[in-house]
Amino acid sequence: MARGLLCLTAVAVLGTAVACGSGEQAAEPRMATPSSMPADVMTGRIAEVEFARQCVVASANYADEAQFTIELDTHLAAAGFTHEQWKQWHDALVGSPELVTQFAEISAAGCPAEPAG
Amino acid sequence: MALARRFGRRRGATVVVMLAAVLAGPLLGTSPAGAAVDKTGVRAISTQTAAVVPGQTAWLSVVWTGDRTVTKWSTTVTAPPGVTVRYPTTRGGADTSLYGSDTLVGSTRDFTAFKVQVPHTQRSSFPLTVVSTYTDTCDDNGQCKNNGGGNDDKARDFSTTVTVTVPVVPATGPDFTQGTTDLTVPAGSNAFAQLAFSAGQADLADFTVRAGRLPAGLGVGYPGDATVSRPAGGPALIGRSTDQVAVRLDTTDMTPGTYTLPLVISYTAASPRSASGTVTLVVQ
Repeated sequence: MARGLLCLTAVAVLGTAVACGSGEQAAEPRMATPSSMPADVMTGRIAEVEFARQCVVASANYADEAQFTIELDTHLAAAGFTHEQWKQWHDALVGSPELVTQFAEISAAGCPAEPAG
Repeated sequence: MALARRFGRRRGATVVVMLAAVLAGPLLGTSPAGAAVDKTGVRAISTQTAAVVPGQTAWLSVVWTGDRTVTKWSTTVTAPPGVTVRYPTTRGGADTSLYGSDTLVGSTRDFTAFKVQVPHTQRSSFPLTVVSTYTDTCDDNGQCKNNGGGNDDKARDFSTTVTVTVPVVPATGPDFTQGTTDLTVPAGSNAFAQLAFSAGQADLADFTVRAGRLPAGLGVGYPGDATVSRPAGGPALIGRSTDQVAVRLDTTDMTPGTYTLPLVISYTAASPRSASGTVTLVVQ
């Protein structure tokens, strides 16, 4: 968990390309189909990106609507993922309690600006 | 195909359950549909958005979470008089939904985004009333459609209303910056040149540019034979954006050289304002 948070911080603050949790570069990751996507290191990294991005969005004021997607894609690219991979992961959430649990655990600490509890 | 068969079985099971409910209802004293209690746990994670400055147009967001998966998410926002709210055009402009889809998966989080236009007179924080409607597809025992519970007949619509605060802070930096400060044109030419201007944080209404005292021999004109030039995108220079104004430069009677072309820039922020600028004009 601490490792995940450190990684999340690196992605969110430094914006550098890090491969959270695996020690490997996130090059050409393969994802299962949405209906069968298991929770693994890669989905955990995407969940970390999504959580970090949501923390940014919650306190952001954008001039343009497109900036929401630009923000997401910037975070994804920094972690070595594409928008399509994020979408597959997002679409798989509804049918995968494993992915939901993983995302919930990563989000449990809350964003820095959120009220506790 | 396998999925279609499974849905077929669900429909059959649904008919049986509905028939049983109709027959047993009078005996068991079923509650009217309107008495359904929202057990989704849908809630806004924060009740404060990002800050805006007076006169700003901004896309803001509210992050949501819930205990159960809900579908058909729709959010509308009501603002105080003077503050206008707009929604993404992708949904027709009457409401907004979640970023990823219109489904909020239980125990996850997603956000709704909307655009507010804050008048220059709005100098203090203001509330937004945010109403989200959604459909709960779980039954009273938490058996949910997406988990294979086959409870299509249990879908119920609910809504949650939250008040979020939009902090308003003073603007910083210049009202605008002039991007184009140098122009090179051929001697003996008569054509439009583009001048770029970028707004600061706030929108500047009725933004106009005209030339001041002209160098000897220079003629100027504006689109539509107007007396001033306006941004190509509309009468306002929108905060944090860049736009162009066109000025026709007639150098027919000029000799090659370097000249200073003064500009008069007018706009309305909290009140009408005027500023000056210059363009270095090189006639070759």
